[in-house]
Amino acid sequence: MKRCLLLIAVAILFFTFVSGEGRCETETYAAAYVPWSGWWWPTSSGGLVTGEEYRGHPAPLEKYDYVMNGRCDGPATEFGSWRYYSEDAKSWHGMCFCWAAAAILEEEPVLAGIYDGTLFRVGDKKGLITVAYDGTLYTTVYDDAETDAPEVFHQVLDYYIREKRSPVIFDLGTGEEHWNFPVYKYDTDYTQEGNVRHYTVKLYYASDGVGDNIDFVGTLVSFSTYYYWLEIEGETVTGSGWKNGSIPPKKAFEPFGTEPYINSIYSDDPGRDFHQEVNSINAVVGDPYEGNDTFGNAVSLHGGHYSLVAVTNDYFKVVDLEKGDKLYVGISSEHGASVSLKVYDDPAGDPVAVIERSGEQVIEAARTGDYYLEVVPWNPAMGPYYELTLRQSLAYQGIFPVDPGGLWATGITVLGSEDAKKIVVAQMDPDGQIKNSFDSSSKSHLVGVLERDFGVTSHYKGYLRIDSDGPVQGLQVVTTGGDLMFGSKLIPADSASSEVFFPHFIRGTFFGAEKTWFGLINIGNDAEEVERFAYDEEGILVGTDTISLAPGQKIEEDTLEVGILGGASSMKALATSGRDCLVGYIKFFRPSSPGDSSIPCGCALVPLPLERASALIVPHCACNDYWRTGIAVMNTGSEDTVATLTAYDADGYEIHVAQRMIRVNQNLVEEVADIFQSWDVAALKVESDNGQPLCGFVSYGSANGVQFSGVPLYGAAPAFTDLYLPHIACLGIWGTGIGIMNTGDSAAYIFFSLFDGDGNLLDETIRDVKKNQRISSLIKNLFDSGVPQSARYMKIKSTGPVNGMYLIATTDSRRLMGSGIGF
Amino acid sequence: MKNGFRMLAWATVVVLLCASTVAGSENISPAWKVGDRWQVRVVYPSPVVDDEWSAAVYWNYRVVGREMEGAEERYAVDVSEQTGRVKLKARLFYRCSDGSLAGVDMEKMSRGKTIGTTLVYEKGVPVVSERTLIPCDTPVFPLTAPSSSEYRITRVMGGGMKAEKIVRQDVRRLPDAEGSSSSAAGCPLFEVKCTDDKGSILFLQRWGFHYPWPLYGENRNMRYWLVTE
Repeated sequence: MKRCLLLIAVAILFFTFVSGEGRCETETYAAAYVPWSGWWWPTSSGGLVTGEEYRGHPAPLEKYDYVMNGRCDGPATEFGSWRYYSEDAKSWHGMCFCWAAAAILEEEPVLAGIYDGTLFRVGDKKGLITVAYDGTLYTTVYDDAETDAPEVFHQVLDYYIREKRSPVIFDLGTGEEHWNFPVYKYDTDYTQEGNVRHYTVKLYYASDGVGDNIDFVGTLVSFSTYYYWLEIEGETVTGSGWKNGSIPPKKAFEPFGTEPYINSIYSDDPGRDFHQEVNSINAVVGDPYEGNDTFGNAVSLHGGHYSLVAVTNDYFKVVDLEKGDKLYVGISSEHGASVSLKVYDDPAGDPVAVIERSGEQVIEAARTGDYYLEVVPWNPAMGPYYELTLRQSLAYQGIFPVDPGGLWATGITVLGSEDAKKIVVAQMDPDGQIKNSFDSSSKSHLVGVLERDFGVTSHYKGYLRIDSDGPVQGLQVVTTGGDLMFGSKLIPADSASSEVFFPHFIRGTFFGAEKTWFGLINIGNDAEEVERFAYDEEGILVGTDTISLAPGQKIEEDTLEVGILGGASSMKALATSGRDCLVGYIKFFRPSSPGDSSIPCGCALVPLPLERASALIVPHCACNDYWRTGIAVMNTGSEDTVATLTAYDADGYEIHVAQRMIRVNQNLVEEVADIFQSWDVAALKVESDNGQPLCGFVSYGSANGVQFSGVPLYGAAPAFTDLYLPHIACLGIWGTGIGIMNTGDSAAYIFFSLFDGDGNLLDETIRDVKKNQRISSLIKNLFDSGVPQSARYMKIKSTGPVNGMYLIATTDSRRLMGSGIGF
Repeated sequence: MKNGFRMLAWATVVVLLCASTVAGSENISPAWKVGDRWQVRVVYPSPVVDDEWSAAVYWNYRVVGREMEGAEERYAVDVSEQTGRVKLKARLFYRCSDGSLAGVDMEKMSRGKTIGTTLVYEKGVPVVSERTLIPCDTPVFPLTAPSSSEYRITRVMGGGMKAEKIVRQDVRRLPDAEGSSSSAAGCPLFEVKCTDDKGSILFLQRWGFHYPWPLYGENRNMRYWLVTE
């Protein structure tokens, strides 16, 4: 029986051989590696520049431009808008070829990275490298349109994938459509009929169907099957054709790399290499702190908002917290790529706080020392992106209300009391998110320019928050370095109010000013509903609206764009919760000097809230050929009032009196010289006859409009109060002048003490001041020996109640700013 | 005697192909010597936009030596891209006997790795640049105008199979006006065109006397010009 079976088998083999009939075993050949899947960036949606179908703006090319060219709408985005985006493009038109070439020749970007502060996700990286391959240099190795027959298709697979073990691009589109894919594997078998082989070939390729998740990592595999026959005489193919309805691939390509000078992005600058720059972006994996993967390697962070990637566990620390200090910790990560945050006061102990995925907590330091943060990715292979927010909240806070950035440089001075051992300067964005911070534990007098001296390099048009463990005062000066300068004192957080008054604004002209902005900041910890009331020149309500302010949020609006202000003359903002959470400012801007557009402009800032008192002091009036002094006073009370305006000369003698009816919510806006028809006024007192709370500010300006400043009005400071002028500008072209008025009923002594930055007393002087007399002087003239270069601040103390202000100006008569002293 | 005759014939071929082309004769063969250099400007089709071409890529050619491969003497010509940014280089081997392309050793980069490729070509048939960005289309020399010849070319397909195709080479002398844009003033140009059996152009070149390389050429993957200035 066995012999019989053997004979049958031999016979089958013999007949198969003789007749040429039979089936070949399936053989599989694969390239040495598998190309990666990526998105084909349809031209009709232009995702590379619009972010459509991905993550919106900033789109991949916008991010590239931002880090490489300093702006999101740079040359790459401009080029991409023209080349990769057309709403009218055919639905199938896109970047499949470029992606396929990149997927073959480039390693797959598998982790997000933060390059120069900007997050590039996997989809961004793949998008950019796809653009680089717009300049693919390639050869066509098979072209159905040029009548390349199945044997060429057969040969391409055999040569590239079987022999060279290299993927090859196939255009598997049909009709007019092109769909290019990196083919990396194929199965092949055939049946033999006589001298004809009937082939079945299955191609495996990386798919670009990742539209649901353009950050996809890995390879989505698709396949297509083709049928063809080859007629063979001996070893030579003598005929061929496609069969079983196979629509042959259109083309096949071998990619080699990219052009030395990628398309036209940098046509004007051949020294720039887009592909190389993209490679440098894509090479960055994780965040700038990588290596912080143990408690021992924890990176010390200041307060701030950090964009980070957890390739492994990340460790950070916040150093030198004092017992009782508060640490605000917030973390935000994404669904599907989440992290946990654990906060430790002792790395060997249990966490004192845990946040899963997203959230925030306030941790009150139970002990003095360093605190540690551990960020644990739920799935490290995904290298999840997260945002970490840290902010220290110390016992005393204040606000510098503007941080304009751009062409503006911001200088600040913070003067701490003897109790102030630590000062934290935090840069907040308009949404109230901390972006950067600077800590000082060694100096109680900080002075410098944000970028140059505090390493705070980015501006978000938000504001600055100062935290200290002791009382502080401060001054902010913002200047273009040219003709524009404005500034503000530090607004103490405890002066925040539920009601903020805007006594005056300009939608036309005011001392030549043509534009006014209102700023409002909610410095509380709760979301606030803020109702705004607009009043006309008679104090009659002409409009209301309601806005919402999130905790920490700031808004700044051009008054021309606030609808309720049409026909209005003043405004009140009210937090409906009644919480004292609002601070703000009024910012005036003159585009050019009145009557001469060639003379540069001026600007002024008035910090809010304004003090509300029944008597307000204008300690210095400058009325002459050059200077103009104006006042804006608002009755914020519930009753109409008659305001008595009393003018004094430089020696304190009453020289004029005027009265004005100011109705509820009405404002009084006049130049001092016009009120009294005199230029002799040195100081002024405005007093309500029935005790209504008034608020307002005084403006100083040069007649040509170039120099311009606003100073809030206050009542009187009590006797023996320590008043500080936190910054003295006396070097070079800078000069500082003060106006101080004795508002008491008798003569007083005023003591002036000059200090250096370390708090060392440099000089002292005493002035005897009569009732209602005011001192108006440049600081350098107060002291017999002038002001030493090392002088940084001045303390003023009086035996009677006083009110003062100071002005900082340049001797070229171009820049001016001012503030109250000691308030 | 037979051996002696073959030697003589071989020597004759070598003399014919390696000697400088004599001006005025109506055929062209490139004449090189070791150390010769030339540059070729090439543009490639855009992968994204039809009828758009890449910025020019410049390839530097240099005859680096003559070497024996078995009994056959060959010129070795190194080719590299001018800026070094295109990670591809090749050594082309030309038979001294007839100027035909004998083979190509090529290196390209993929994912940071060097991939080497060696291509070998039959003697006495036209060669089309393939699997490379480097122009190396080579007609059968000498180019005689007018002339037409057919060649049978065998391609190895793998799996023990071969494919053959007929390539036709036509050479004509261009009228002065037609060739003037590609030629040094006053010099006649020969145009050689190789087509497959379906009439599709495999490559086209325009040659001038005394030039080491065609003044202009094109195939489906590139257009190229000899840099003459």
